[in-house]
Amino acid sequence: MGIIEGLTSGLLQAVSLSVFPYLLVGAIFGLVIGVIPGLSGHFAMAMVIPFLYSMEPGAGIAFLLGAHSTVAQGGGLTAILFSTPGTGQNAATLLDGVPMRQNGHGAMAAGAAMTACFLGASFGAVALALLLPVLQKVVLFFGPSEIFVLAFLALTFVAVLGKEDITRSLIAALLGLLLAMVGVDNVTNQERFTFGLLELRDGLALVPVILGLFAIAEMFELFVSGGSLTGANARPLSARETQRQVFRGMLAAFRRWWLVLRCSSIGTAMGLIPGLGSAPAAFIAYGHAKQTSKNKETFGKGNIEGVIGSEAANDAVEGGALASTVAFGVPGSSSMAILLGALFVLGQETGPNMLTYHVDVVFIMIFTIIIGNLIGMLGGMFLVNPLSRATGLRGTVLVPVLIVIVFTGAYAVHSAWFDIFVALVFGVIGYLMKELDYSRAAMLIGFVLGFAVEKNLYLATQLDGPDFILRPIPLTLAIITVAFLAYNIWGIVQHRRERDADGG
Amino acid sequence: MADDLKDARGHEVAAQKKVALELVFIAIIGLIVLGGLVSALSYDFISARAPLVIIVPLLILIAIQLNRTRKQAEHRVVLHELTHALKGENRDFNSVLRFIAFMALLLLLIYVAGHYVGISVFMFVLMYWISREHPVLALVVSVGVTLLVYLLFEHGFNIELYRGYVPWLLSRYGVI
Repeated sequence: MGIIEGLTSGLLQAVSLSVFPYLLVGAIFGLVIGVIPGLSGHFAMAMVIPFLYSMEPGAGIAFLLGAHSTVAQGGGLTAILFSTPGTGQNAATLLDGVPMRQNGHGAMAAGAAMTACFLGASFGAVALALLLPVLQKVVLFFGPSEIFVLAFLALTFVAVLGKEDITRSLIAALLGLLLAMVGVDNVTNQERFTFGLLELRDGLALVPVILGLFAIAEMFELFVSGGSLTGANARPLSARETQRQVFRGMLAAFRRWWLVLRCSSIGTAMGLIPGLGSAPAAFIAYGHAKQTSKNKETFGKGNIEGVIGSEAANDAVEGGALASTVAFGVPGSSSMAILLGALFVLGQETGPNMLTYHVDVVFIMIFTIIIGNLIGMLGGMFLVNPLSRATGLRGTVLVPVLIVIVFTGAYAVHSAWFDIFVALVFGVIGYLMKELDYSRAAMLIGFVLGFAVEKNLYLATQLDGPDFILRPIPLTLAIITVAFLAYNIWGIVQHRRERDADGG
Repeated sequence: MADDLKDARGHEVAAQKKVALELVFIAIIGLIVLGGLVSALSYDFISARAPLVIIVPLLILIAIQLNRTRKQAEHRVVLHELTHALKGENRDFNSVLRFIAFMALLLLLIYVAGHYVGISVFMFVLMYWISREHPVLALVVSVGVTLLVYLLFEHGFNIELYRGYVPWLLSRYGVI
């Protein structure tokens, strides 16, 4: 299938009656989840996955990405209106969003943030579309040997560049890889790490693991913290003034199109690097907006450019992150790992097959991101006040309801009671990892990549022999991996030495 | 000044609690991985290859992390915190354990009485008895969500949820 055919087919499918309603429901769901502090984009995606089994691929992708794409918009809203970022990626928005609210321009900042999100996401999606012809050619050079080494490179990036400690993240990544080995070995038919349990013969199911790590773990935190999800100052604004300010904010974002373009480019480029994620992109874009502004001194005191820059980069990341996921089946973040898992559930194979024969599926993703963000922006435009009321939901009511939905979702995938148990166990593990700063993203990516790593290792040794790593691309990737890891470890050692010297 | 000292001491105790938790967590993970190593050594070469490639560096990293955490630990405080937690005197730890127990209860309820009875009872108990929500609210939410789950899964997605061991037993003896 050619690019133009794929583009047309993807667009027609995304707006068709069999797909669009799912996109709409997903986008509204994501917006509400984003507004609720403590519930992230991963949570929204994890909650959506159990429902995918009964859906067509197009509808499933639209539902999932629709939910994911609007989370940041909802999160931006609460960051500005209640000083509580709904998601971690909105933290940079606090810097100028909160002072704007304190100056009486909260809704204006919210309007600007949501519009910047939409523009940034659209930029990222278009960048992905433009990258497709290049990716189609590059991906042909990647066989089992290359994918095997690339998976380790991606895991190293995720472990090193993530916000958590390197050693802990590497432990999490390797544990994820090891968990993927549970079950019967496809080659020798030997049971591995099953403890004689029949339920583990097919390995750990992906959906309960995702639900446990990202949904149940959040519930733990909400239950332990208890009470309301936001501070006491969560009060809706007056309707007319809010509406007026929202429109002014939206207009302000469109007027600063050049800033949006630059910050979106930063976001997309950073999305291409596995492990960086949205939060660093948002902070770098904020710094860029400040550096290039004529009113540097007003940053941090309520400059709308700070809000626009960080939110544009925040959402542009997804386009870049999708590129490596779709082309090589190597996710760079936990959201992309969940997406990859969802694509397995929907029977879609990433890599050359998708880019060559099912490029329409990639375009469904692209249009879903654009339309989903548009829905988020329009929703935010008229629903700022009703949405802000979602923050008033009490944890005491929300937690039991969400747990029930999560457990039902875990069961429904294979109609297996054991899967609920798996979700519970991984919920405990996820909570402990979160508390102790072990990267859950690295573990999930390791788990998702584990299947591919072992399969490609076997194929590589069969096709290219035991010295497959000496082929040009695998060797280059292996050198980059080792050099990157060594450089970062050296940096840490140096830093410790300096710290010890200062202390002494 | 006295408040500052109290705050600093509070932070220190919180940090040591975390250290104690990590020591236990990483030690358990280490033991499991060690068990995995022993297990992997008994597999065919092809089946053992990938797990061993992962387990060896993993064990090294676990040892490094265990050592790092041990160095951060004030042994007396950590030991005190661990005994405290085991005696049930650590509020956060109790809270987490209580939550795990509730979820285990839900798991058991689903297994014995079926999905619908299990989830409705669980929601009601958690909202009314534990979180002290108004009984009408707890009842409405429990019944409403159960109904929603039923409509969504049984009718929307055509997925039959688990009917439970007791209903299965009763149907076997022709009671229902």
